[in-house]
Amino acid sequence: MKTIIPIGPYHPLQEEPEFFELHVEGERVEKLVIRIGYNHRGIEKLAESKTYDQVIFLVERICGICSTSHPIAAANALEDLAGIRAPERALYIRTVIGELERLHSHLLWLGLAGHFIGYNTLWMWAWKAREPVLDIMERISGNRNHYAMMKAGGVRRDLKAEDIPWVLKTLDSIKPDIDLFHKALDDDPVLHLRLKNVGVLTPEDIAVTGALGPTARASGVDIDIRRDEPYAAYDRVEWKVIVGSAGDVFDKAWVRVLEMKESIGIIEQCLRALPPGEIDLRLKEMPPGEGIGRHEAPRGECFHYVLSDGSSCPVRYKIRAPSFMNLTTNYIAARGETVADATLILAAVDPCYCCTERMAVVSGGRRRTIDGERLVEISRRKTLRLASELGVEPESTLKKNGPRS
Amino acid sequence: MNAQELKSELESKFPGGILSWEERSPHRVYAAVKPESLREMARHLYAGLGLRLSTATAAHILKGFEILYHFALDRGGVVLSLRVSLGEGPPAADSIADLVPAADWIEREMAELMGVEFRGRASTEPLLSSEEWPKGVFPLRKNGEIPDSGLQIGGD
Repeated sequence: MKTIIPIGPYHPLQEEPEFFELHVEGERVEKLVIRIGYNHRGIEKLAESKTYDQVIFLVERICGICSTSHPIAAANALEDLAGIRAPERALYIRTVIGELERLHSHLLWLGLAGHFIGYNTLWMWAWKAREPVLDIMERISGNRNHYAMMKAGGVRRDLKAEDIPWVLKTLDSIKPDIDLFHKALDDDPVLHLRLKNVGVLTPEDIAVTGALGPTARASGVDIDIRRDEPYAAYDRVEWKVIVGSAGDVFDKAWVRVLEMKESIGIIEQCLRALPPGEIDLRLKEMPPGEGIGRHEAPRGECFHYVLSDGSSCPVRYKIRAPSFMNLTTNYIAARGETVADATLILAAVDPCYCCTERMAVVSGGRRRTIDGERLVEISRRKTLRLASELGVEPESTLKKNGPRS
Repeated sequence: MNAQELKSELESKFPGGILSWEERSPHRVYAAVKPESLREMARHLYAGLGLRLSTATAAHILKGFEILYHFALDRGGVVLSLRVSLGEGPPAADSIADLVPAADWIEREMAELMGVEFRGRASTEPLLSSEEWPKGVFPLRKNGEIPDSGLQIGGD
């Protein structure tokens, strides 16, 4: 029997509504239809009526999670246009903010992924570990999100010397949490059964879709703008690009967890080697011409293009967020999988969309509206079934090694 | 491979296909290409040389419309932007989505927001705009009128 399951477009947890329609034959997903644009705010058009300085604030409003990703890409684009490089100290500060954001974004994803499979302890602990990262953002920028730190030619706020020891200490406090998540991923048999070989993307699938970030790297595609086209201070510090191989949901989680450890290392090195000096070139005008700026956001390459005629506002401003590419992997990854795994697969690319606001099942011409928590429940039940088949408690590895006080 | 090697590769493969080549930095290359060479060049960049289509930008400028296809050479950190001028009339270009599948969504976006017609596309279903969006209104055009959405804030 053919069933069509629409998911979306709105969910209060996510800042980016999308609509998925699962065409299901029996238990298996046969086809996926994706519609986006429900939250299209015409930001490219708006940018044409904003001054260059305002554009940075505007693009910071694109995303509520990786809110500094677009400002960094925009600063890179405007500096490419102007043919300048921000002062050294500003490059280090950009790197610190960019990596703090990766940390909290990956923790947010990890928690959500935990929730979708019924690992609610993981959910709570991941989000608990995220809080100190937001506290650091607040101490540095005054804001837990939308930090308003970036500008073309530098950064807007300096890092205070007296804050640095506190920031380092706060980062230390979440290291055991990340180790715990890493260990759970390595050792928990239920997680292995639930996440391995699910929603597999091959390197060819990544090439076909143009997928980016952890989604690409989990499939063994070794791309990362931070290394490939070094900007900010990424070429001044030691770190490595985390690359998986299996291309399944497990490797996507594994890549993100290990990336968090790299992020902490990058932040620590930047804070310890923060060079003195100016933080802003105080640019007054933009020349005519074009500029391209890229940033490796938590979800992959963020791409900005600017066309200038030398006036105070851009003639054209193009933005391509990584989810625009990553979402199309779902056409491939969800096909042939069960409905119980579909939520997880759609969530695995961290698309700023995961679960359902509402869900309606159309079956045999009859439409049945199902409670919003139902899809998560189907996924959760599969986890419980696997755990009971193994004769273990779900989240046993996690609970055995925690909680921390 | 670096920008220079890319240039000689494309020049030998597509003689006369590149109208101008501008290397603004080791990471930023812009090549104006003949519209009729675009498809084969895009195919070669993606399938032959393994470049990734990062995205494309359609712009409405004084000379009319143009599209920039931004190809990323990841190892080497090069963005090669192929510039195709569409002239002053109603903008139309050959679709490359059958050769470079990652172009599918961005072509749909350019069709909906800039009104570029892509010849030879299998599907022209809207990706971003709602069913109620009026036909023939393209908000990213410079002379585009943006209709009143009729949406009211607050109240039912």
